[in-house]
Amino acid sequence: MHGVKRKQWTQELLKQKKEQDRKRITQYRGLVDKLLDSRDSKTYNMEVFKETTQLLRINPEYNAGWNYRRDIIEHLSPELKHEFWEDELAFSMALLKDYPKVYWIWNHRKWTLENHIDKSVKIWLRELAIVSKLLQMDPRNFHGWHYRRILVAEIEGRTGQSRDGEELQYAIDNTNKNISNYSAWHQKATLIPKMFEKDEIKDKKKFIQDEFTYITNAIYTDAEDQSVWFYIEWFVKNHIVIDALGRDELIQKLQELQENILAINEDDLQFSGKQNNWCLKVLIVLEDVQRNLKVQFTPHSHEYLAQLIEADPMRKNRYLHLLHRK
Amino acid sequence: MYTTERRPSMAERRPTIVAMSAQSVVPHLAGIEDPLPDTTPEKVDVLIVGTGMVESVLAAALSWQGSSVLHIDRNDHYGDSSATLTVDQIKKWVNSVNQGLFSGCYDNAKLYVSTSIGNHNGKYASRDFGIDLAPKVLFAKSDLLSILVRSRVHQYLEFQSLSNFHTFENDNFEKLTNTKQEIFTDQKLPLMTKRNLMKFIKFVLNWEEQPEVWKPYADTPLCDLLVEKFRLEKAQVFELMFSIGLCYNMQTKTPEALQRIRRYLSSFDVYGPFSVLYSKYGGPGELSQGFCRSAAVGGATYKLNETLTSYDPNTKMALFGDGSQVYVTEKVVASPSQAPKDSRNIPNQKYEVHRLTCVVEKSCEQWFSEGESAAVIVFPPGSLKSGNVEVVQAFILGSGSEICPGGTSVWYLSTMQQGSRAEMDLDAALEAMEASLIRESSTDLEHDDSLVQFGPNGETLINSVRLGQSFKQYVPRERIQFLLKLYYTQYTSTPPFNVVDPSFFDINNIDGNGKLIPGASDNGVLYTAMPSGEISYDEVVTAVRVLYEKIVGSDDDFFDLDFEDEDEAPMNKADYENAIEDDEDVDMNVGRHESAEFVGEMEI
Amino acid sequence: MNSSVTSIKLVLLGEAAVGKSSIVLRFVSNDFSENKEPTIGAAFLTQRVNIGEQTVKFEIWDTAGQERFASLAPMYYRNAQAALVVYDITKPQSFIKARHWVKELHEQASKGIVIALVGNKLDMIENGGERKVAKEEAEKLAEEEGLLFFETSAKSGENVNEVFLGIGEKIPIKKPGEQANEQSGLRITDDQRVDLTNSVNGPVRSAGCNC
Repeated sequence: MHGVKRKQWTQELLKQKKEQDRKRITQYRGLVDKLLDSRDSKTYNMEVFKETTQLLRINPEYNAGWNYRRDIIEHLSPELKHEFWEDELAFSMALLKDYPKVYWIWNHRKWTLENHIDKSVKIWLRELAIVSKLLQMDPRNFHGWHYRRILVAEIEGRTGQSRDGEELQYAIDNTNKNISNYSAWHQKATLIPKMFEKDEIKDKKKFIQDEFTYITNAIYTDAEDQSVWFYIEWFVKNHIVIDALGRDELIQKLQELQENILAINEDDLQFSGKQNNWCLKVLIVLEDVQRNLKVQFTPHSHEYLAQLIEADPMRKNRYLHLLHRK
Repeated sequence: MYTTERRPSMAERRPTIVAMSAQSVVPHLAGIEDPLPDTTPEKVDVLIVGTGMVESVLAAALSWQGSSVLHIDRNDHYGDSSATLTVDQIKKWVNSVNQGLFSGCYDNAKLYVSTSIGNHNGKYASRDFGIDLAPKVLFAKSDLLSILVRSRVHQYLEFQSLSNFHTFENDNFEKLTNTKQEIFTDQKLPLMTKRNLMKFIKFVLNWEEQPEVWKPYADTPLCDLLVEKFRLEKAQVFELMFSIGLCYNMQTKTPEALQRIRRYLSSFDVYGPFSVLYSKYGGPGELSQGFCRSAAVGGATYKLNETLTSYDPNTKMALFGDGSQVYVTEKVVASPSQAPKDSRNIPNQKYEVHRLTCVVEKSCEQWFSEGESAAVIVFPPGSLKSGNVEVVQAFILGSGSEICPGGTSVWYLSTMQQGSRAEMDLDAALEAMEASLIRESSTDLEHDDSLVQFGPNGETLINSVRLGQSFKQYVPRERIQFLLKLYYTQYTSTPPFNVVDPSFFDINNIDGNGKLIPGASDNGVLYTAMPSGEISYDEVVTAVRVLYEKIVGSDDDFFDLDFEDEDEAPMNKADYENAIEDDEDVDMNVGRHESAEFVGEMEI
Repeated sequence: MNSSVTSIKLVLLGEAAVGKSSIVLRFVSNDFSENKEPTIGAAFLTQRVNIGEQTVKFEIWDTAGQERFASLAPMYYRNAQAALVVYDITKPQSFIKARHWVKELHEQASKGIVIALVGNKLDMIENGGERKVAKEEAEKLAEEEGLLFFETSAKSGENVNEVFLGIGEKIPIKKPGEQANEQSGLRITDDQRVDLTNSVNGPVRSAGCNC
């Protein structure tokens, strides 16, 4: 209302608003019914196509609407020009702006690209730029990350060239920007073994050494962030580390990491009187890894588990189970 | 105590509006429906004198609440003590100050203007510049910002980001390391320092809920907490207190300082990777215009070049310089800077803010973040040659802010130091800025052999200068061209760090138990506070709210506006969900979630 | 679907009672802008119009009465891409005022501003009233100052649409080809401007304010 205070809305106005909402719902239901009828009678023309636009604008989560829309497009496709496909991309982009987390829109966008009249790799590269821009605005949208990986695979398939290097850099840029970007850490964990295998990383030893420095830096910056701890757990257990460093250096690196985690845990204890559960959990992991490497050490896992049972009673039974196993 | 009878709101006063808006017909807006009369009204609810920041926001709040407002200003421009002025207007203003026209509000104004400005054949025109008398920055999370959006005044304005806060230390400008990213990727910070800094940043975001951490330090300066509890080093302490917290001295107590540090941090990433914004074309002077326009749209009457001569609380008549008069049903609110002659009720403006504003013929881009046009430089206590006890703050704006032409920039320096040593501190800060600028810009001339100096081990010093090391030996070859230099002392009743104390407005409240001063021209006038030295807009809304409550009786409906936006608000999501039928055929081409490689409970 | 919208800030100027507002009201409420209801915000009135393939969004700023006591703020003129300077063809005084506003605009407004000089109340002549401002005189002013010129009747609607159409056509609008990025949904704004209604964590709702 223009310059009218909410509180002073008259009963009449509230009634009108309700009435309006009711109308819109009726209109929506009407639209749904109508479209379902058209679909069942196998109607495929521009008119019903426009109706799907109308419907999906109101409710982009209505997947039957998307399916029908695609059926229509497929039937009309011989007549559809370049401009139509571009408009279709613009349509899903406009919806994504309001509903970035609706899977069906991402799905339709992918389908649009696959069926686009332009079969060149250009539109896929353009799409990669678009989704990177979107992720810049919303770096933790996992739909976007997932979609991005699909695009990369598509582009790699079409050009026959690996984009692993670029993708790794992209992931690193994102963890630099935000340590808590789970999707970016995940991307790293997916890429690194692949790149090791394909020999895309030249100096493997240095790479792993640097990675130890990087994760140490990360836990000092934020010891509460679970993404980093998950990544560390994955990293120290993966065979690439021993392959690259050899047993002796790996043990040395693991022990350095262990010392740093102990220092962080000690610092937490001093500051707040509590130990850091993440530290304890990863310390246990590090002992496991060392045990597998046949390192001689005085184990503390029982101690850590006992402390975890106290500090994290929700998962008490799990810790108890592990305690008895060891 | 106050009138319990509430004035009908805009909506209630104009019953037609309800019917009209329901039909989506243009509702009444001043000036757009029927022509307005050419004379000022005979009777108004509130007369506001002075179009400074506080008065302008108040005018808008009252107009939209439904009060009839007459808003005047004795100048031919908007903004009063928070105006944005051209160079010619500055000259005039300085003359007025020195003639004692603003006694008690300003004094000691000194102005130097280069011949390159104005004078027909000068390089620059007077109106190429927009100099703020009380420059301010806007925190991305602040009460003023939400009022700007709610009142839609933001649509009249353009805001730009300011990311760079520099702390001057050991003869150097250090850029602030305050984001998680910067802390994470900083190569120089020791690991434990990173951790301590991050720990403090997390703590401060909800410090109130953790009394066990700060209570022992409640009555001590914040630096004790930072050093003892968080084990931070001097460089971080200074950054946190003076750049992030924008505190004025070492003595700032823990709760106040934490509050201010949080203000910065919680503003970060609201609109992007920065905490602070400023308005293009000028600061409070520009915002004042925006709120005045909003007030006018809400029905207020505006008259510039008009002075209040006197107000008589018994007859409720206000007399003006042009001989006209108005009957004021409720209140006269005036800025101390526009008080009528023979006024006796102006509250004592006992705190000094010393300002030095310079226009410099240098773009100063090196101080700005990429794509930006502004920076803040803070000179912590003891960092200057003058041995400053209080902080000196400098707010730098480049030509991208459109307040000065390309190749120039405006430096606003201010300090809360009281008395004559303030000017020494300002001069020392200016000198440090000048030296740094000459040094930095000289090193840009990469191929100039005479500039390359070698260190004892043969390394070039240019790189170390770039890294921000001291370079005291360097003798500048050129001096910075100052196009304008303006010193002045401004007085305010708002103490450093405080917002306006509501009791301040009771001083001459004759409706209460105040007394009339015989012969005074301003009995019953409610005075606003002059702008304080605070670099942000933070006190403004508090001050307006207090005044609003004094006038209206309660602040319940303070800016309680609900404008409809262009794109109609979508219907309640729940309504749709009820209306949605189940999806019949689900085809999953793409995984809906992350693959489960390291998702979920950690395996231990 | 319209893939791009160009916003045009248009300011109104002219003596009181010449019909500034009526022209706008006529413009926003007639068939010309069918199915496009005007929005009255607290800030300004907006009206979308299709010109060729383009949609032009006029942001129409009225003086809100601030011109009465010579109290228009510099902000009013700032970045205006178009201005309507309105006078009443039966009132010579209002034409003198119009000259004054044109001069003011040249001084205060941005260089490329499109100014339309509009002589209103044509209907009064047609109903036997006396014209006091010659069309030739106004045309001469328009030519000297590089203005668009129209005579209108807000009452009958005569020529009103042409004013806005004329302005819309004269303002350079980006060609569709230049907006390839936008068509596929990518909007890169290299502008430094920060949109206060668009915070990182979603739009700022006016009701969601917590102050």
